Amino acid sequence: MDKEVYIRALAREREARKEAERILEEKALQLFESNKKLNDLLKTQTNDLNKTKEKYQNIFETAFDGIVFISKEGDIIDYNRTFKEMLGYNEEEMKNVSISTLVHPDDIEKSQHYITQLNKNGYYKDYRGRIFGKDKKIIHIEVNSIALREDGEIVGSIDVVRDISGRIETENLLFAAGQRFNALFENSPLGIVINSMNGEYLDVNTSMLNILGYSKEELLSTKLYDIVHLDEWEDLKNKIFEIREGNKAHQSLENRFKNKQGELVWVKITATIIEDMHGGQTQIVSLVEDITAWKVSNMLLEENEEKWRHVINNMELGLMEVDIDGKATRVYDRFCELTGYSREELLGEIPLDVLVQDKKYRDIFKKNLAIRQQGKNSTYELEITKKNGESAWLLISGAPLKDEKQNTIGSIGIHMDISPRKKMLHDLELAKKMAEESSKAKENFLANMSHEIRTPMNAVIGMTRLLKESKSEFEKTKYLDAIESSSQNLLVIINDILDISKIEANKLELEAIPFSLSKVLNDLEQLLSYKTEEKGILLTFNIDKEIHTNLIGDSIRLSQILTNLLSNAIKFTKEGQVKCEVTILEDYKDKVKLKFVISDNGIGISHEKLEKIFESFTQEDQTTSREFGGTGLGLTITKNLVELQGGKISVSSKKGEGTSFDFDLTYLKNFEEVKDVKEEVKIQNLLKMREKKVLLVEDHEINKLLAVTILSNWKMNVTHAYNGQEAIDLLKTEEFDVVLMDVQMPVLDGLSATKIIREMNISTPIIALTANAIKGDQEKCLNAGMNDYVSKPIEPSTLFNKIIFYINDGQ
Amino acid sequence: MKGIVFTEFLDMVEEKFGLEVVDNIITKSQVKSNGVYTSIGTYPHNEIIQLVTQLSIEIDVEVPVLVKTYGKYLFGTFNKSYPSFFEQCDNAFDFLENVESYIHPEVRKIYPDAELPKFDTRKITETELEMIYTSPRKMFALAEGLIEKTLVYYQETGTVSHELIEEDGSVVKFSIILHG
Repeated sequence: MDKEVYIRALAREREARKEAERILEEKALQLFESNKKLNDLLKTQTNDLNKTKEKYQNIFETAFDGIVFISKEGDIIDYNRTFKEMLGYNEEEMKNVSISTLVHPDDIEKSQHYITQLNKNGYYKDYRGRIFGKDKKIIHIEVNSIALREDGEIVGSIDVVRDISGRIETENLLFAAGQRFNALFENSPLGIVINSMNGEYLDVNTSMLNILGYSKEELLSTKLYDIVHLDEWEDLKNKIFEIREGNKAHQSLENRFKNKQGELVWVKITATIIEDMHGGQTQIVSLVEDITAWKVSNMLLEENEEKWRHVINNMELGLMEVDIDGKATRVYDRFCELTGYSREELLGEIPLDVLVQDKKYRDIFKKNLAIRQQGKNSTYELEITKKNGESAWLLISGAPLKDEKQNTIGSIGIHMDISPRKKMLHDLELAKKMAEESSKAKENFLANMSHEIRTPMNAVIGMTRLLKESKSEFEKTKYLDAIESSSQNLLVIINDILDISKIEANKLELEAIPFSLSKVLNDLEQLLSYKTEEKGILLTFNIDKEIHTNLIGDSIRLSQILTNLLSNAIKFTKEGQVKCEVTILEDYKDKVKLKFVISDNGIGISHEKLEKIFESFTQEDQTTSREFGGTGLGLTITKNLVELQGGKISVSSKKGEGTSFDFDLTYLKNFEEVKDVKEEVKIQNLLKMREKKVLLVEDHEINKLLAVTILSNWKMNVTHAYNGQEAIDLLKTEEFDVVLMDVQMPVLDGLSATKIIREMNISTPIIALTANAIKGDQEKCLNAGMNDYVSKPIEPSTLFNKIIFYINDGQ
Repeated sequence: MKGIVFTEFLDMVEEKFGLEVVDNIITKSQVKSNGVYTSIGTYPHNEIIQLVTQLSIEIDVEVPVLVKTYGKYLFGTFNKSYPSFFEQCDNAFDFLENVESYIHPEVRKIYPDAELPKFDTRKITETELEMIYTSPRKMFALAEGLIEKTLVYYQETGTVSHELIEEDGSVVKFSIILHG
């Protein structure tokens, strides 16, 4: 072989060796590095392992369950603290413990069976048995075990041991409770039904089956809807819903169920929710009692009672039963109606406290309650106060209520509302009293009237007789004065009577004409001054200067009011003063409210009489009229006149010190000038009147004489006619300036005559002389064609004004 | 390619054909390494192709036959160097199934840069095994030699056939059927 080949091969080998050495060097270095890394890793992992081991050791030691490692031979290899404590041994004592000494002899066989399972499956679960702890204490345990292996071979087991002694005890208690429940359930005379929360039947007992006549299987397959009375289904469903919603944990119901035969059975159901330990609802337990018999007898009772209640209610008698203490135990409708209180408001209350406030009646009630407590009946009357505050009179008939042993247990009262009767009685008495008073007042009035009228009348008649016989001018004048004065008195009386009758007939009408307040007061002062001067009384008028005295209203009625009050004041004041004051109460642009005060320091009026002073036919005292005269109508008229004009009048007085009347009146203000007939005008008018022709138509001689005298005084030319016909005849031939025509006349009366005169186209002004001041008559006059009227007895100034008005052609 | 493949190949050529043939194929193939190989080194794959091709020319034997022969030779080397792999199993199929699942991972631990073929092994019956070879080196004949030698090692008789799944030989299915 070629030597060169070997040389090349050797060279290659050398190269290869060097290459290999280099690679090996490199690998050694790499190995060193990775060894170092491995060491570090090992260290870290050992640490981690130790930590994990520690962790598991902790878990092992602190586990809630006992953990024990047992060798195949039954020796304890390791155990945790829980296991040791479960047994009650200390560390030293544990050394002598082996499984064979622990297991209860009776459980050995069972435990062997589980060990077989362990060997076969590698584990067993839920072994329950007993072991002995220290001092032979029996411990109930539950064990889960898993095989402990080495190289796949089972060498022992890890047992997790739980002490279930407490649980066993609870289970025993539960078992006993269950037993007790079963005994109750099966032997209860009440039907018991257990439903799930969604209404399924879980169980029913024998009594329940007996109530409804179904077998258990039949009932469990029945729906509640099938057995409950159709009318009650909705209500029952709602109540079950309420129970289930927890609105009511407990419900007592009465319902009708249909039994298997289709008959209705009355049942009383008491349903209760069964909750678990956490308050969750689990079941509904219902106790069902057959109350059919009770219900039927009750219904009969109720029917009976209803019947009687009906009877009683229709008798309009209010019934109430009270117990021995007087507390209401039963209240009937009619009694509620009588008192206005509801049954609920009265039940349990003592009606006496509610209804009777007056001590007098409370005593009556208590007296009768005492009688009742002795077992006796009684009847009495009481005034009660109803709920609405009205009072009512009750006639009460009370009878004791007795129990079966004849003990009085309360009483029953029959109450009749006698208020209408009582009221009628009261009204009758009042009416009688009023009638008596009224009749007495009228008697007095008539007596006064006859006295009042007769006195001046007697004077007139007497004086007239004397006048006829008298020869002396002096005496004649004296008699005539007396006659005039008596006539004036009569006129006042008659005017009063007329006024009051007009007021009572609502026929008094008011005028609204311009007048001067100051003039009215001035005239009054003049009119009254002769009386005051005579009696030596100081009469003062005091009018507020701010008052706008030009007013519109009825000045005549104002004068009348003031005259009445002032005359009274003067009449009843023997000495001292009478004051009339006028002040402004309210002042407006177009009207004014005035206050008038008339006061005196006369005899005064007693407090009791003051209240009645404005009533008709009343004077302060019978003696008053005897002493002071008067009709007793003045103040009634005054009050009515004030009120008719929209005002108010009041009086205050003290006996012996004086009296003060005050009233207010509102008048419109008049801004036009008031015609004031001054003296000059009067003289001018008198001159105008002279020789004017006046036809006086009057059938009555005295009236004729009076009128002729007055007219002659004014120097008028008077022609007289006795009746309407004569007047017509005269008017046919003669012209007159004015005719004064009486209304009631023989042959032809004034109204008919006037009509004929107007038909004859004679326009001479005709003024009626009417006997009364009633407005209707005056209208008749005007309708007949007369121009105006003057009331009799003739007031000269009024007649003067009327005549002058027509002589001036109505200006 | 791991150095052992080169060193064992050259050892086999020297043993069977003498040092002169070794020198010839190295010289003529003009491999870049100049034929300097150590079993623990790593060398380009094409060099073994170059060497095998050159040997084929030199001794006038087809390349696949050469490679398969080499595979059989290599089995002996492996058996000698790593007896524990073989001792773990007591039959051929167990061993062959272990190649992919155990032996190759172990090899990679020692030689992280080793480029090993992939075997998907499937036992069809107790006597029939299917192995699918996948490698861009396309040296399935080497594997076939190793498989055949495995049967011999475990004293089992049978046939090993192959079927090209990819025509270039990168994926090949071996069917191993045992007799008796």
